Amino acid sequence: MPRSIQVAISISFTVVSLICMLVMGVVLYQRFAIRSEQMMTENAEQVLGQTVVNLEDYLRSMRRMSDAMYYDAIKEADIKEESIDSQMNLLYEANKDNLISLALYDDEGNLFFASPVGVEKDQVDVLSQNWFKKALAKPENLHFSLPHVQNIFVDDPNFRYYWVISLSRAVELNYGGVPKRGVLLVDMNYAVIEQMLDSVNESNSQQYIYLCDSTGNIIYHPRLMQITTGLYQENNSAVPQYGDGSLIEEFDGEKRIVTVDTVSYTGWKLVSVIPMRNYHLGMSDTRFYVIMVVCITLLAMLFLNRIVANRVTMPIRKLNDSIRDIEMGKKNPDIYIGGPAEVEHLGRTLRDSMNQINQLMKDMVASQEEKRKSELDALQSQINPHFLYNTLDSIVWMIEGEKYQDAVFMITQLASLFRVSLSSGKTIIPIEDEMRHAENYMNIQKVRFKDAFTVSFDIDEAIKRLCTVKLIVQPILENAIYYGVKDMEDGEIEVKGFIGDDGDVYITVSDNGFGMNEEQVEALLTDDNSKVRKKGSGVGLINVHRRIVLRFGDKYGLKIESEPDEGTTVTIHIPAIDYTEENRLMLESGKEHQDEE
Amino acid sequence: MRNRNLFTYFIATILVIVLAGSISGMIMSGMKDNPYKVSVVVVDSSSVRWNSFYNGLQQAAKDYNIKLNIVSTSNGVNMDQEYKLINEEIADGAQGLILQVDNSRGTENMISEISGKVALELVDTSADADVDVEGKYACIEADNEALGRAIASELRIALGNDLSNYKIGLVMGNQKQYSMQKRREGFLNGIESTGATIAWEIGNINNITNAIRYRQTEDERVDILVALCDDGLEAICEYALWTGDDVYIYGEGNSIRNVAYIDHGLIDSMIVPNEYYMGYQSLVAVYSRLENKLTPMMDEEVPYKVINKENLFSEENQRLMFPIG
Repeated sequence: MPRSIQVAISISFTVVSLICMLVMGVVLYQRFAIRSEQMMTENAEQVLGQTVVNLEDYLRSMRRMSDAMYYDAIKEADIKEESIDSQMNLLYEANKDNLISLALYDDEGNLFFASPVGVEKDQVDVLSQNWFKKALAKPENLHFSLPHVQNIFVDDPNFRYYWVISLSRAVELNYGGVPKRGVLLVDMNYAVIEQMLDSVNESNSQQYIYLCDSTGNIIYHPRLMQITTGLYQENNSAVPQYGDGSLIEEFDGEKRIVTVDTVSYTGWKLVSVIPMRNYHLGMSDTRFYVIMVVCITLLAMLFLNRIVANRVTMPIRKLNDSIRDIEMGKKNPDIYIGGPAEVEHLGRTLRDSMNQINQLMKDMVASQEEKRKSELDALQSQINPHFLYNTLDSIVWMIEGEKYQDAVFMITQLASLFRVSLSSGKTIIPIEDEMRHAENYMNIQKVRFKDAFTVSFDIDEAIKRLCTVKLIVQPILENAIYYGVKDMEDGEIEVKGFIGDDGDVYITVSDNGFGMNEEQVEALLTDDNSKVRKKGSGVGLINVHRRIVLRFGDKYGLKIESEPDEGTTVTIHIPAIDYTEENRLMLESGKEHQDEE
Repeated sequence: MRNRNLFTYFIATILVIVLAGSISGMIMSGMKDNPYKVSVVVVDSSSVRWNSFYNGLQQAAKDYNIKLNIVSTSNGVNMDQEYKLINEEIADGAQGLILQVDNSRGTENMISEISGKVALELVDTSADADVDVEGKYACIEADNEALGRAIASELRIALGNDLSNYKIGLVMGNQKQYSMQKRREGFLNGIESTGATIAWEIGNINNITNAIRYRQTEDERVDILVALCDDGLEAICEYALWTGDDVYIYGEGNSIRNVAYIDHGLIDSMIVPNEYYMGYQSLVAVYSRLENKLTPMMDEEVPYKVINKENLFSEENQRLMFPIG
């Protein structure tokens, strides 16, 4: 069963809306997610960049301090003779927030000076400590160590130990005029770097940064203790392979955005880690929001769709209802005219068509009624008592006058006349039979009028087996007698039948009677019963004309030509239709109205 | 028409369900989960021996968004007092409890009762308890028997397997706790075959330093002083510093003071349980239980290290011994 328009519109609109909204939602979300990820990465890069700058500033200041100590104090002094305690203390005091201690050693590990003043631990082996070894191994460089607990001086009474990053360098000493190598140690307070980086890691998100050296050893990590105790894993060993910039790594079953920035001079790498889980959690709000908006929009569109589909299809449905009423045979169905121009046009056209159909049906009924009436009238005319009475009277007269042959003739003519009149109830008969009827009639009338006129029949053989409506010639002959030749001495009536140039059948009835003027001619084809002769058959030419028109159409019928004192010719014009049973039934079947009755 | 309505209603229903889901998702993700409240009840809460333990607890509290409350207790707190404090904490809304019992014996009813109300994690020492098929509580502690043996082992490494000429003074710690009992047992088992004599033993008393001094001067002087707990080890070192007594000192400890004593050369060897690990993991265990009441709590072992002057400042050990921050 085909779907209704409304369902089709609803479903297609819903599906299209759904697809469009989903596609749009997904595309927008993806775009937003990508952009969001880019922004997060850019932000991390910015933060990292700024932190690197801060770190570099700090390390640079430490290097400058080491330079100042070396070039302004150590190099200028004879270590054997002079003390650089005051310069050292001054430098220490100026930077005590960033420093734990300053110390100067010779290349055998002997302490020359230190600030703040401290007592070396017993059995401390400076020579084995990495900062010392590296400084002498590469005297041209300044060396930054990994964070470690200072293990040189005796701990203060509060049992405090300091985490430091040792900045060490080889120095040239003047020891009593003898050049000597030494190592200048600046123990930087690790807490400074720790605080600097802690402040960047303050947010509660899972995102964090950590610092490692060029080989991946961790210098600072917000979860250092957890890493040490094995409660947390970090992918620091992969960092040396990463260049500066952002990349996505997979570690411990999790994807992370990793941004690396190198601290200059030291080669340390500052690493920012953003777990994608963190990013996805952050995006979950957006995701829910997008889904929410898409759902609300779709619901609104669904609702709107119903309204629109309803409004669009309502006129069509109303029109459909009207057609259904017509289908069900409702009398005077109210055809909906409204809605859009096209629907209104349809409704109007439908209404006009219905009106036309109704009118045609009425016309057809009226026509059938008229036909039936006309046929009935024609039939009734054949049993007009006057004609029968007069004819029987003539027959009685003949029998009484012992003119038996004439009587027989009259009776046979009458019988033949009535036989054709009845024609077994047929309305359409061959022209041959119609002519026989006319001949019968004329024979009877000639006897009655004592051969007051002559009649001749000239019928083309070609037309004898063509169809005609019965009882059309006789009324014309009757008129010709009663209006034409009755009172004449040499009255002549001529009946001709032939095929005209147009292929139609023409039957002419001509008389040389008194003729008629125009007014009379017109009156013959009017419906005015007052002009019908009561003594004749009683059927006027109007009846003949109507029956021909009703049966064959407006193109056919009677034509009357008359000149007063000259005569009258009545022409019967009918189509040439072979007389077959099929044609007869076809011509007679136009009786819808009679069938309904 | 009916089909169209069914189709529309079906789509609309799905959309409404999805909409409701996304709205609740938004609300839920926007809602900051109320943090769990967990209380910590340990003996002598202000002792420096708990520093690493607290560091671990606090890191875990930060990582898991837990509101931590360390209940203030003195060194002399007993079980009844602990029980009272615990009930106060529960009444105050604590959902989890980390507990070091003062006395491991006779705690069945208490543990049964408490574990029925809150997620319970015993730390440092186990205690008497009924069979717990549901896993409503657990214990995280070192393998104390092995720890005791490790102290003995250090002695043997340093002084040899023949200690028949040595006398040992043993500071036993709180022997009401099973952890201390096991350490003692482990140490005695470990030292048994050496022939060393345990001259005297000091329990959990107020002035251990004085008691040691008394033992050394008035009673029987020993060559080796062994402490099974951090406080005892500190007391031994204070005695040594105070008197200048040149004794071998071994024991268990983790406080920065004892670490300094190693650095000083006072303590020859110290067994250090990873208290940071104990603190962190105890809170994680409580959190897991609170997140999923069906997850049974499981006992866990705390690792330990052997620290001496030679390896104190090694890269691996210094982070443990000298926590940053």
